[in-house]
Amino acid sequence: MLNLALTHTIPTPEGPRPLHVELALSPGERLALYGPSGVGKTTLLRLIAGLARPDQGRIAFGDTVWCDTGRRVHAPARERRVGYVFQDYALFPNMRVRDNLAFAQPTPNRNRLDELLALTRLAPLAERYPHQLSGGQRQRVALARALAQEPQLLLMDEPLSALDPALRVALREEIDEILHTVQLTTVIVSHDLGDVFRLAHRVAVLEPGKVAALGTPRDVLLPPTPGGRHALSGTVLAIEPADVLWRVTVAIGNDTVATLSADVDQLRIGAPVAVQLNGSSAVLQPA
Amino acid sequence: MNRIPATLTRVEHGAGMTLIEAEAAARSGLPLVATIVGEVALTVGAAVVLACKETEVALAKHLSGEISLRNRHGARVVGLDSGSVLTRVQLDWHGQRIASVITTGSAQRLGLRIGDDVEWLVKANEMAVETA
Repeated sequence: MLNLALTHTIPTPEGPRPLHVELALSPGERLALYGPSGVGKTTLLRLIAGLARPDQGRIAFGDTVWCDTGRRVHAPARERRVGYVFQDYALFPNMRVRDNLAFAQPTPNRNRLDELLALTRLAPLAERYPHQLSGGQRQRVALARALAQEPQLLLMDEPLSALDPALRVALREEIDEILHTVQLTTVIVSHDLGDVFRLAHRVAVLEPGKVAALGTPRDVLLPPTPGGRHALSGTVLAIEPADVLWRVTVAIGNDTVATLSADVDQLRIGAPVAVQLNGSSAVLQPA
Repeated sequence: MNRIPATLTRVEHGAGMTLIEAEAAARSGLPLVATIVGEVALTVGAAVVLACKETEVALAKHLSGEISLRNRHGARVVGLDSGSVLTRVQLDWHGQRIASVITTGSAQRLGLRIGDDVEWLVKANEMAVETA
């Protein structure tokens, strides 16, 4: 359905770097673009949407060629029927929720607008302005507005990154249900593994200059751990004596763990550390 | 962390798990056993290092009857470092140094002295496999 093969120069702190990407999405497929900041994930979305032109390459949706640099073809964004959900919502602040959606419709259709409000559970909020909504509600409006464009392709750029963790989990599940209902071919940019595993059928892992891996999230992001231990990346916060051992406190993301260790000679406060977790001994409880 | 050089003698996959047995370079005669979550590509004959944390090593004296633990090996106490709560016990196991951290109360109950013969025990799921 969506086919692209392109090369585009990405500005990086080390200087311009060419990114080469070849991807093919099936109808209704959801693909996540996963990778570190600055690798070109958002740029790739903008190229697909027609908001930027690739240095070289071809982008086609079905039989329609959106871009072919060799033939000097570049369909403008408005002709591509792409719905774009931005990280920061990008809603019209002076329009009510209903009007934000109506403005995006290619032709006025009140029934369809009511359907979308119901689908995204925004009907009770339809007469509110964006500033009267929570972050999660605003992002639901952004998604509904993208769907109001009746797109053939949906692009979502870090749709959950502005939300706190609890809200993020709840909205992730809602977005999953909405995407399941609309069955749109979708490309989602995220650096969050939970987003990738919940929302995407396949994931393309971007590294500087290339797609480093492509496949199901499980195949690509859960490589076997030869020793039966999984390593989490952390930062040493404190090393304190604890009898004949040392009590080492480590930050992992926004959480901290403390463990007893006999070997602290190579640990330094503030330095990175790998926290190894035995696969069969981890205790899991719903948070 | 205890790190024991060994050679794989058995690799068995099933139910998303891998069970391995290995002969330690120390040549104790009894295999070391580890279970790994995930079916990992390991081959018999490969050189590995088995690793277990000191706090996962239990000690016993005059142990009788059957026990499920298969990592059960005789060793000699060569060092004791007692704190108010924990005691670190150094063992010599066929030339391989093994450390165990147990409570000081348990060390006293066992009457541990340097030169004592003991058994060290580790559950298979607490033993990790590092490629050598």
